[in-house]
Amino acid sequence: MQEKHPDSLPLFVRDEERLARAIFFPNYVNKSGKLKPSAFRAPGGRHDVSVNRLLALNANACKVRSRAIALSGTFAGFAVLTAQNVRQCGSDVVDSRSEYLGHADIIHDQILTKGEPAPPEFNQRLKRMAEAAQYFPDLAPDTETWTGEDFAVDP
Amino acid sequence: MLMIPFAINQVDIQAPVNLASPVCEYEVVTQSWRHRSELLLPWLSRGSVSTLEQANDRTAAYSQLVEISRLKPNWDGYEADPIDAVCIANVQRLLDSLPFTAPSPDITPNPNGTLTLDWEIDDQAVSLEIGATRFSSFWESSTGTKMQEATLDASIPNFVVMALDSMFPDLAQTQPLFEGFALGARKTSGFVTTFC
Repeated sequence: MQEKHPDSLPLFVRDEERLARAIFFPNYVNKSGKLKPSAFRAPGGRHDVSVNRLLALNANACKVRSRAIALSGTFAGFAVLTAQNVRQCGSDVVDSRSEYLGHADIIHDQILTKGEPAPPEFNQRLKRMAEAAQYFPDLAPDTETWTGEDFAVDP
Repeated sequence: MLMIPFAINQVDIQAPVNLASPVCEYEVVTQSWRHRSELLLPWLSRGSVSTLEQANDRTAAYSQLVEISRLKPNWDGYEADPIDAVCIANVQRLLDSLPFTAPSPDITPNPNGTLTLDWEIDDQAVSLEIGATRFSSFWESSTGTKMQEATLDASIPNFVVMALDSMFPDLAQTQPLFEGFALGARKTSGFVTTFC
């Protein structure tokens, strides 16, 4: 597993950094293979959305770490986008290495109420975020290692 | 294309359900829909293939809703809230009210317990998020974006009706969308509030 020394990973997440969000609910991907905006939402009362920093973790490490912190769900793959994609949609990305080195959070400017809808402007921004992200399915999601296309390398 | 002269939800037929078994009420609803579809099949079979596809499309939407109603807390791996039973009831009413010829939406659960309904065709998209007491929606088209949010006491916003009419013009000629659709929100009585 590729991991960086804490001193070598900057706290600030630069715009060009690529981020990978583990998808544990296969229906977040539609029949065309496109991600749905709900994949980038937080639960009620919160505004943080977990992602992996590809500057610090490779595909295998992302899978191992993400599966370790997931409470339940069926691992399916990763949604990959840049910090710039997130910021252009009005949200931010902050390092959260207390979870593990290479972990970060997308921070939304909206904290949603449980059981009530988000403002339409926010939903539209999440749609833009989902459109900017690329989905990488894992061919063998139950295994320990990543078996899909290598999303950790810069395109 | 064959036009069905009535909305299928107006057909009042009891579903053959074994009530002694612990079948949740949503199973009853879904089975009822399936049963209605089956009874109409001989008539539908005289129509076009697309008519049969529409029956399958609506059945699939109800099945999707049943599956969503069964999601446990943390269903997305990130501490997602369970889907609010009233939200599901509200969406079920919407599906009931959709004319038979209307395409069913893609239904997606949200981590804060609401449901999003999406219709997409060509360069147009309508997104309608249904909560327990409120809705929020936006319509994107080549002419721009329209948005609205309000309580569910109000009717579905005009621009959503306009959007769906615009996206599915054949349907607009058949009957107004969401005719009679009124969401009960938490005021529902005798409606589905428990799920498997």
